[in-house]
Amino acid sequence: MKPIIFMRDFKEQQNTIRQFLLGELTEQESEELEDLIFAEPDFAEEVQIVEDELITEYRAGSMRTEDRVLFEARYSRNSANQAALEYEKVFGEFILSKSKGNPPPTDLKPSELRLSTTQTSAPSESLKISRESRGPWLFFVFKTHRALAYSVLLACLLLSIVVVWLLSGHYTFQSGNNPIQAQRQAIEVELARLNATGRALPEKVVSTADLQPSERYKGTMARIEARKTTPDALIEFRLNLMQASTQKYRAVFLDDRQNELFAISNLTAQNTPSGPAIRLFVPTRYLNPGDYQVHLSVSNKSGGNDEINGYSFRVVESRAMISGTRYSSLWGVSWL
Amino acid sequence: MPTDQTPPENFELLLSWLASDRDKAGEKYEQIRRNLLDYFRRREVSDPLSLTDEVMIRVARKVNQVATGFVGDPSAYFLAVARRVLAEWWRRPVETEIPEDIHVFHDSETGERRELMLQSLEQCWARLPPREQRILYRYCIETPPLKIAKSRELLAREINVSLNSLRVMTHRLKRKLKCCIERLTENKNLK
Repeated sequence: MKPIIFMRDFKEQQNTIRQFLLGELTEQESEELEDLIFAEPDFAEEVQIVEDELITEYRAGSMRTEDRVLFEARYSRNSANQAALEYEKVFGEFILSKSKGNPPPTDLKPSELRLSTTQTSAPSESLKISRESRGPWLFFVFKTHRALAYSVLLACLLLSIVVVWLLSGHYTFQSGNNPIQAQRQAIEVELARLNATGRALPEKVVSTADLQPSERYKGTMARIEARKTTPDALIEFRLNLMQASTQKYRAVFLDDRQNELFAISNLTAQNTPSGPAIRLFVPTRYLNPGDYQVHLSVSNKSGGNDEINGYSFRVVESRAMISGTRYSSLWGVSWL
Repeated sequence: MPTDQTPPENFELLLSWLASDRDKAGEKYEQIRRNLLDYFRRREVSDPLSLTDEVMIRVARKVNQVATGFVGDPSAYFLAVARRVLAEWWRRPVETEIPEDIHVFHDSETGERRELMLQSLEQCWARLPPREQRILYRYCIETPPLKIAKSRELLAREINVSLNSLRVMTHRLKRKLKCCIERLTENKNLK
């Protein structure tokens, strides 16, 4: 296993925490991780979250057999851990009772709700709710002629899509009218214009994030505090490079699930007092609180791009936003 | 607050060592305490609370000697003391006979405890703002035919946050409820 401090990917981090909680790490690795828990409040919280998810997974019966054995060995022989399990069980029952009795108002139909955490502990309950809501005849059809029932359902679905499509006036096929694709294209056009000169109006820049390659900085992340700004406020990113190239660079922004959000092409390296860097500007409105990664690539001779560096940063809600007080200053950057 | 013959001025010193601002020091103190409880629990200590108190008392007793020369985050010092306390706990003599005062929970007591927890949960839930109730409820409930992951994705999109932010948000809400329940059950047990 890599040393704990080199964890740079969210999935890798979660996997290591999981191994720690199941007792699969060596003593030295566990101690290293405990050091990190005490040093980093955010990391301590992540460990608590993964532990809660582990308990939920165990209760739902969706855990792999070998993990289940490890989990039971750790959690069932200790009264303090049992209390944590008991709390999750009671909480699950409580939420389930809310769906039956007086649920908080949602856009969903309460009769169709089922508790995700109690699939194993109360399967008959959940089944009962869904059976009642659908009616016995429908249940019978699905049970006896499953393939036929699904085919009919699929046909109905396709028919309704065609009807909706026709009614909304889309008689002719138009390429590229996927709204998400169109939105991304619009953002990229704006970003390309904004970054074409490498300069932006200084008064619009509310914060500067100096990002170091993840490898060099052992997976640490810049933390950007999101506070309310004007709609055209910008954040300036400086992507530090080990060495500069005269080729064009491309930066792709991704969210915490590795979904591409937008890309900025035709970027050039600049010399700064702290070494070569790529400067780019992104409007603050495109970065909601959450974790992000930037993949930087450079164009190669065959017309493609070679990825050279990865950068990470986290946009966090400021305390002022959480407590609802008036926002006094703009965006701020610190390091995790 | 550490009480076992610790002078009150040591506790003040302990807080000022954690942070110059008293509110921040209080937050840091709570954070360390929570980490210690989790540390001992994950190390399979049957009574994490006692060992956590022991660490707090030891640090408070020594704080006037340690604070001045200590470089770095005080949390690291607490962890070092916790490791020592845990090592001592592991070396303690193991009781081979069942002590007379051992308390065995009977089914009725377990049921009462569960009932008490449910009542407290109901009260604490009522104190949450409706929006927070809605978010937590929808995060925990599966809505067939959607899988739970898909339901959560939809919820995140609706409230305009990333999936990870939603995960952290609901964890904090659950923790808020848990703290509230702990306070309520403590009060009920005291009465």
